[in-house]
Amino acid sequence: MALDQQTVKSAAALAGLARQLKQLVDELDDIVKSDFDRPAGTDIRVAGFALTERINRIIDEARSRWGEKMETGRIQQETIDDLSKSQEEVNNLRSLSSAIALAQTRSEVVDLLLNMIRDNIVPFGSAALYQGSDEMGFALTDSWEATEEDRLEIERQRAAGFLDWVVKSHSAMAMPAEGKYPTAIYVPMKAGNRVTGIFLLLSPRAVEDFTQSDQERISLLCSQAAIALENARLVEQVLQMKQYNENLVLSLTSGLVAVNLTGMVTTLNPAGLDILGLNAPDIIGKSLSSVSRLEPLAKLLAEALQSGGESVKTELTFVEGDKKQILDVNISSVLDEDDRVTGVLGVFADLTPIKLLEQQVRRSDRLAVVGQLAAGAAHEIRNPLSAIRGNIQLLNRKLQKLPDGGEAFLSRTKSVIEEVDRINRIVGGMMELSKDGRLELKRVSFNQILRAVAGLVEGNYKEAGVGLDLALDDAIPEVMIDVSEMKQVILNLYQNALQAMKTNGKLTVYSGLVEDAVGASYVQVRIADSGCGIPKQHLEKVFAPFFTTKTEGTGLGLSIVHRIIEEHKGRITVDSVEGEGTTFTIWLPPARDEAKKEPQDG
Amino acid sequence: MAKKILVVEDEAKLREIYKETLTEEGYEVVLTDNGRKALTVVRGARVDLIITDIKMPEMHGVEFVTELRNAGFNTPVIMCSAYEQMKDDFDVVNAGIADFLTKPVDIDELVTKVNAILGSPAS
Repeated sequence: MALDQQTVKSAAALAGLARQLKQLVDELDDIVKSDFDRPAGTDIRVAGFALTERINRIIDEARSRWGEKMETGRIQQETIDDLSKSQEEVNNLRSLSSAIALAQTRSEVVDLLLNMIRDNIVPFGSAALYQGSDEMGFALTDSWEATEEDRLEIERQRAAGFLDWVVKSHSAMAMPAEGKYPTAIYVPMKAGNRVTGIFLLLSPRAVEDFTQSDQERISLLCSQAAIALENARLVEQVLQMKQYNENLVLSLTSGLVAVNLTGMVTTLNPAGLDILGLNAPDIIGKSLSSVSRLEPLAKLLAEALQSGGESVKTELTFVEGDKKQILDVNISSVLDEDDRVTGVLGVFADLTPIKLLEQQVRRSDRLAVVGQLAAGAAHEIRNPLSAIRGNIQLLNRKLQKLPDGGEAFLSRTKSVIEEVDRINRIVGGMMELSKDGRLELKRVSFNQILRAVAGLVEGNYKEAGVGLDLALDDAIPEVMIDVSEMKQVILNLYQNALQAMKTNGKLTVYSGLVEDAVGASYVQVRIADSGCGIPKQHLEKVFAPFFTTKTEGTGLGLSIVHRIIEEHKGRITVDSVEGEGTTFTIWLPPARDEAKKEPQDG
Repeated sequence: MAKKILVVEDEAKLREIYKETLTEEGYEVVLTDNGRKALTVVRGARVDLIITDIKMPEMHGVEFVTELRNAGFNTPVIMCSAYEQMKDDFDVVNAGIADFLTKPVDIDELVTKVNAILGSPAS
C-alpha cells in the first residue's frame, strides 16, 4: 500500500514536469516561429518544426502515460480509503459483537444490541420485541420507550403482515410507517436457521436512507445477539438448576456433610450446622476432627474414605461435659461420572429429643406398672393396718382404765398409731398413682387454680417468712382440667417449694401463653422458688415414684403431679441450680374453641 | 335389750376389733365373713345396723346391700373400704347407705358413726 502511494506521488511529480516541459516547448515554438518567419531561415524553421513536433509527441506520450498512471493512483487511493473505512467498520462491528457475546443475561444482550444499533447504524425512537417461533407464531413480549402513539404504530405494523415476511426472508428491512416516525425497521434474530425473535425499530430516518450496508451490519449484530441470547438462556437454565440443587440441600431438615478425599469438609448444610452447633466459617474447608466433640463423626467419615466409600448406617454419641447428643448417621460415597470415589457424604439426624421421649415413655410405663401394683398392694396393706390400728386403739382404751391412766404406755401406743397413719398415707399415695385417669374436665383459667391454692398456703408461707408472688397473665386462654386434681398438683408444688426455702426466700408463679418449636400454643405455668435447688444427679429422678430426699416424704408427691399433668395431655419439666432455686414448668394445651359454647363454671 | 349390729368382714382380726369395741359400747354384735351368710342372718333375726366390708369372697359388700334392699330390708348400713374412691364410685344414696368408713378404721370414728345412727345402744 505504501509503495503505491509513492508511485502515485511520483506520477504526479512527473506530470508536473511534463507540464513544465510542454510550456518550455511552446515558448521555443514561439521563438522559432518569430525567428524563422524570416525568409532566410526557412530550412531551420522546418527543422525546428520537426523537432518541436517530436518533442510534442514525446510529451503527449509521456503526458498520456503518466496521466493514466495518475488516474489509476487516484482510484487506488479511493479504494484504499474505502477499504480502511470498511476495515474500521468491521473492527467496530467485531468489537460490538464481542461485547454482545460477553453479555450474560437476556436483558444485557438486548440493551447492548439496541444501543449499538442506535449509536452505530441507525437512529430509532422506540423499539418492540416479538418472540416466538415459525410454528407457534410471534407475540409482542417487550417494548422500549414506546409512547401510546408508538404502540398504535407497532400494532398497525403487525397488522400489515410485514412481520411474517421478515420471518420468511430472514433479513432486516425498512418499511414506511405512519405517526411520529417515518420508518419501521424490522430486524430478525436468528439462532441457527431459525428466527427466534424480531425487533421492530421506529426510526426518524427515511426509508430510502436505510442502505444495503445498514441492513447487512444490523443482520450481523443480530445474529451475534441471537447466539448470545441463546447462551444467556442456557446460562440461566444452568444457574436455575444449580440454585435448585442448592435449595434442596438448604431445605433438608436432616444434616448433610460432604468431605473430599483429604477429609476436608466441602459442604455442610444449615440443618447440619444447627445440629452440630457450628458456624460455616469454622468448619467449611477444614477437617471435622478440628472440633474435638465431633471426633466420632470425623472418624466414621475417615473410615468410610479408607474403605472406598462403603455405606454405613449407625448411631453416634457426642459427649461434651454433661451434655450428650445422639445422632443417626448414614454414610455413603460421592462418585464422579466415571464412578470414582471423590469423597464421602454423611446424612444425619439428631436423635436426642427422640431418645429423651423414649426415656419419658419408659418412665410413664414404669409409673403405670408401679401404680397398678401399688393399687393391688394398698388394699391388702390397709386391712392389716386396720387390725393394728384397731388393736392399739383398744389397748389404749384398756390402758386408760388402769388406775394411773396407763400414762407410762400411752406415748408408745400413740407413736404406733402415728406410724400406722404414716404407712397409710404412703399407701394412699400409691393408690393415687394408680387412678385410671377419669378426669372431670371443666373449662377454667389456670390462674384461678394458681390463686385459689395460693390462698390455701398463704398462712404457711407467712409463718415461714417466705414471699409468694403471682405474676399471672390474665390474657391466657382457658384450659380443660380436673380442678381438684390440678389443685392437688399446685398444692404439692407450692408445698415442696416452701420446704426447699428458708426465711427470706421467695416463690414466684408465672403464667403465660407460649409456642413450641412447631408453632403449637400452650398455656405455660412456671413455679420458681429460691430454695436450695436439686442436685444434678437427682434431677432426672424427681418424678420417679418413691424418690425423695426428705425424711418425711412419701416419695410419691411429684409422681402423682407427673401423672395428673400427663393425663391432661400436658407436660411438666424441672430445672434447678443448686443453691439458687428450682423451677417447675407446666405446659397444658389450651381448651379448644368449640368447647366455649358449653356453660362455664364460675 | 341392746341394739343388734351385724358385722360383715372377711378379716377375722378386724371382726374381733369391731366386736370388742361395739360390745364395750353396749351393743350386741353378730359376726359373719361374707354377704351370703349375712343375708341369712338378716332374714332370721332382727338387725338394727349392718357394718360391711366391700371386698369379700362369695358375695361382696355392694352385691350384698343390693340383695338386701331387693329383699325389702331397709336396715341402715355402714360400708368400709380401703378404696377411698369407692365412696364416690358407689351410689351411696341410691343404695341407702347410711355412712362410709375408710380403712384403716379409726374405732373412735366407728363408735361416733354407729351412735349417730342408732341413737343409743339400748332400744
